[in-house]
Amino acid sequence: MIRLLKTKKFLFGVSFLTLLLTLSILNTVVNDGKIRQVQFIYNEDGTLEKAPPYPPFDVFLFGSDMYGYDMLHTVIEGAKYSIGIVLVVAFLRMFLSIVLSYFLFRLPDRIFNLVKTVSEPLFFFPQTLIAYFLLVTVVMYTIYGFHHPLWVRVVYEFIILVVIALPALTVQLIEQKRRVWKEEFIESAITLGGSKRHIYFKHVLPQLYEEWILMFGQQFLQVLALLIHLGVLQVLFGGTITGEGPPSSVTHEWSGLIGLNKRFMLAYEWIVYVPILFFALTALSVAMINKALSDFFKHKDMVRKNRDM
Amino acid sequence: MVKSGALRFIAFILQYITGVLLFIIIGSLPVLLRDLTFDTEGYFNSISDLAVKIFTLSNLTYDGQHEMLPAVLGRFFYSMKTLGMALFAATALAFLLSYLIVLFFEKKKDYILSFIEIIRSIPDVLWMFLLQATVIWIFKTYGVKFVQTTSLGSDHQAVLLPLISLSLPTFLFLTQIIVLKIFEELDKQYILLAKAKGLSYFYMLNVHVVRNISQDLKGHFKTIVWMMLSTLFMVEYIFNLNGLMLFNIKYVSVELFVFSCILFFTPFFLIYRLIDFRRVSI
Repeated sequence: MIRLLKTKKFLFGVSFLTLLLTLSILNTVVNDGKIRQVQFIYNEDGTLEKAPPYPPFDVFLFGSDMYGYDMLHTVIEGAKYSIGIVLVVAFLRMFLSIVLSYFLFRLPDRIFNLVKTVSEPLFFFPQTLIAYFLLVTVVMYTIYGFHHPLWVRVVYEFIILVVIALPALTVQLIEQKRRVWKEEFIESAITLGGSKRHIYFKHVLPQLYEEWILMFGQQFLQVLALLIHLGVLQVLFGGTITGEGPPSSVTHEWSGLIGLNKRFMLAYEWIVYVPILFFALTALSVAMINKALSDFFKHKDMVRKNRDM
Repeated sequence: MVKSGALRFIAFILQYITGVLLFIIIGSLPVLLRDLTFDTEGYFNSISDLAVKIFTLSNLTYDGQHEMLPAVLGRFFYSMKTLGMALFAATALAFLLSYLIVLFFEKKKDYILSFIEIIRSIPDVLWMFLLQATVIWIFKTYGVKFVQTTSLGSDHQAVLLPLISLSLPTFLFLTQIIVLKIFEELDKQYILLAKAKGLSYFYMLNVHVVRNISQDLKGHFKTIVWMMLSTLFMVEYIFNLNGLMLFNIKYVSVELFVFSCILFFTPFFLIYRLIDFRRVSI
């Protein structure tokens, strides 16, 4: 464990994520979710000197948006929603497919192969397109307003984001478990009279939980990418408001920030780049944590093998 | 032999038909979920309707009035052309880079590999926006616009930037796999034999190692295509390419979605089966 804490990658990733989340939660608790705003800057004689959007390194470090809100502050306020959504979706994907694969992994070979061939077309069709297609009819704002209250939209979006990955993930997990099930020690455990549940929890699970942790990291990255894609396509989490006046994002969720401000891309590019930059930094830190963990597990394996010899 | 071939052919056709049916069932889901009313009757009607239309290839429309086939096919070939070019470029570059790593940076390979693995996690959208921003920045400061940043009509097609951003994630992924596999292969016994026979390093790499890793690469083909299709969707949207994916965003309709899914599914399905077939017969 100490060895893991000593790796730079792990430290960097964990500290970045903790810092971001702590600041974000503190902002809501202490500062009541307010965001710093400078509407106009006047000269001493009362004439206008600057008006938003301010470029980076001028008034604020990362510039401001059209209404003079500090971009860095906005992004930090939105961090807990974005990272929270991604964490919940990735966790649900892993959890549900682990449960499903527990019931399905001892299907006879014939049926399993049949299921695999039938569900094959699903594996290579991009999640983004399917998610976009399924979400756009429900989540979009129409001329009569939203058809559903916020919580229905949020739950629906969660369900879609989780379910589109389930088939592929479940088949992958089933294959993993079948691989372990074919090992010799399982056979001897069966001979010794262990029940299915006993073998599963005492012999199969310890073999696999490390791989699951790494898979969770990969799922995190996938969901993050999916969320960015949906943000760029202006399908915002919890619903898109299009209509009169500037659309505004209530939660300051990152993909919403990208989608809403995409029209300023060419003139005030930093408004879009700051959320994307933070998305990229989050992805990088998760990838670093994942890499450090996989190195750590490999090292642990090696130590264990050497000790046996 | 002949009998098993025929059986396999029948299985192939059956699998294709189930694939198409699966797409129809999934593609019709918005009818079921429209405004969350769970209109099951409409759902089954739409499934049977679509199945008839697609298997007979008649009466297909993309917005209720216009004929689908002429509008879709050209865009589909354009999308596939972009995809194929990007795949080719990515493969060629990945082989080049991994040769460089294997030949010259063998000692640093662990650092390079972990660097690539971490860099790969950066979302593809960021690359696209960064590329566009760089070109625009150069244009603003030096007044030279050397590539088109977005497609505007048929005279101003963006070609280079979409290709780069489409092939970049694949390129990184492929390089990682190729380098790993080459080093895995170089540890094997037959390399020792080849060295003892006095074959040159380059010959060994080109003939024996590449032949052996090509099997593994074919196994990753599915993941690569999946990644690229996802990116293609974003590339067409951001660079305004006139492909099938953008067409899907413009006209959100069940028929169009299902039909384009099937169009993309067909060539890759054929390629997978060919790869599997060759693998089994070897």
